[in-house]
Amino acid sequence: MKTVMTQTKMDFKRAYLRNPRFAFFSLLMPIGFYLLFTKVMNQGLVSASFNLQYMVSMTTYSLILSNVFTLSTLLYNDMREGLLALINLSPTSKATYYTAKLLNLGVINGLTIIVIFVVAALSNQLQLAWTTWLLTAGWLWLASLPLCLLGISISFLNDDNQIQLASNLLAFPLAILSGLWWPLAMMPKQVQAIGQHLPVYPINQIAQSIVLKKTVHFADYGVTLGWTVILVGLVVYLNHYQKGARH
Amino acid sequence: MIDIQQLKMQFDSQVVLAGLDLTVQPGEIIGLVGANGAGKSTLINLMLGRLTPTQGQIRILGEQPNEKHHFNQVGAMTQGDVPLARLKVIEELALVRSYYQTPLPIETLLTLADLTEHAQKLVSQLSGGQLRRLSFALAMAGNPQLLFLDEPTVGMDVGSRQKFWQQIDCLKKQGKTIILTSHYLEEIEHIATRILILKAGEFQYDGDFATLQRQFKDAQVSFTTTEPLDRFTQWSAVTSASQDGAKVTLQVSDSDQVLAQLASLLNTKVHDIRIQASSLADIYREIMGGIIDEDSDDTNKNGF
Repeated sequence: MKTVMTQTKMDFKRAYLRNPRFAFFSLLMPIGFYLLFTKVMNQGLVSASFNLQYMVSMTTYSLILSNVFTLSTLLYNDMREGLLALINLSPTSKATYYTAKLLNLGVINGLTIIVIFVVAALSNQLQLAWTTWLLTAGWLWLASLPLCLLGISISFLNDDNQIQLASNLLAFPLAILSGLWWPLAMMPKQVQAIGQHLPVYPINQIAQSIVLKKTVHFADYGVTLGWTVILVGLVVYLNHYQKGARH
Repeated sequence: MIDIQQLKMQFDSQVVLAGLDLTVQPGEIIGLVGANGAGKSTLINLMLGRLTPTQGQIRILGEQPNEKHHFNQVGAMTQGDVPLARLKVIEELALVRSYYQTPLPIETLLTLADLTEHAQKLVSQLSGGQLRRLSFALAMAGNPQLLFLDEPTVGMDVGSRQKFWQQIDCLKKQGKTIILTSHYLEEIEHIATRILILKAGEFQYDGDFATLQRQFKDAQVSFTTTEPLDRFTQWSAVTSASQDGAKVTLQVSDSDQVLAQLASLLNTKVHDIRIQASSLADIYREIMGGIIDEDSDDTNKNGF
């Protein structure tokens, strides 16, 4: 337990506190976009519900960046910097490392959600019942699991350039096709059909339904669960068949 | 400590290790010497369980090399070590210490690696030599009985290398078992209690340095004389000769024979005879057939 706590503490310092890339891409950029769209470009023209919807969208977008972009790069860097080799040549198991990573990611996802919610609430005077805040935050936090699995899967590419390429090719299309930037209804029917079956769309839809007090479609839970199962399988497969590449 | 039998390692069709046998007793300091690509690092990686042999058996502390719990007694400083850039030195040591059951105190590790004054620095701020010293401290974190050091002094300056070998000497006195490779053959010659010369996947020599020197009678003999140089170059055991004023220097293949010939001339035509036995680098060069790696620098003796 002491080893897990030390690993978690040191990993947090390395991966987040002393990593300006994380602060910029995963936190400042989504906050910046939120303020740009709700305060600068649409000054006085947007409804309160748009501000709420956009808060949820940008929080989901931030979670994509933390889990898909940052996590995949962090996992790859840990391998490149020899952290996994250090653990392999010690009596400690790699479970310690992965437990610490998940603990930190849980904390970071939680903090990300809180920070964006606070900025949105203060900048646009958003008002919700505390249970709605809690429920929305709780759902987004829980639903970041498939995104985390996606980041882990990408890290198995074991090449910095390929990881960057795959992260870009997945993160931005996922955000656009899931309606995070503009409503999915604005897109052609075929594109809408694809978007609705991607892992991010139902996460965002469920959170929006919660803040806008709309009915949550259970099919969205099904799609999220389905993607989680698929991605768990993918990570297990990649770990088993590519473990030779990870030292 | 280590028991290797008929160890063979092959990458595709290339045989790197061709059936090695090796037994290492506690307290031995093994200097593993060989050209680039001779299989030194492969052998170390096999002993650490990072590679699986094509054939043969390896027992480390009586167990398979990749048994997790025996790493409480094994430390390794490998060539690919790149300590974690965004941690401070003291934090990285604290992290790696937490992996072990009975780690050495952080202060001891900092002293061992001569990094006390850099403890609060970020690892990214360390020089190449300081990074290698940190890697050494990390290898020592668990207070291992068996230590693998693969090219430990690469990147270290002269002073750091001197301090590093002093620490290894202390570990030697404590009875630690050390397997080390280094391109600085002078360092191996001084510290190793047993030398293994690896060539073409086989041990060309396995024994102590004194025995190796006796096997290779090559030496450098110098003296002052008024005789012409060609008088000495005619001797069958002289392989080359040079003259600087009255001083003559001979490279000889059999020092006993040349000394006997010089003795008859001593105090009449030859004075002030000095003999310098072959260094490990000289012998290594001969075993390798005159080939020596560019970085196997026998002239770079400042580390001691």
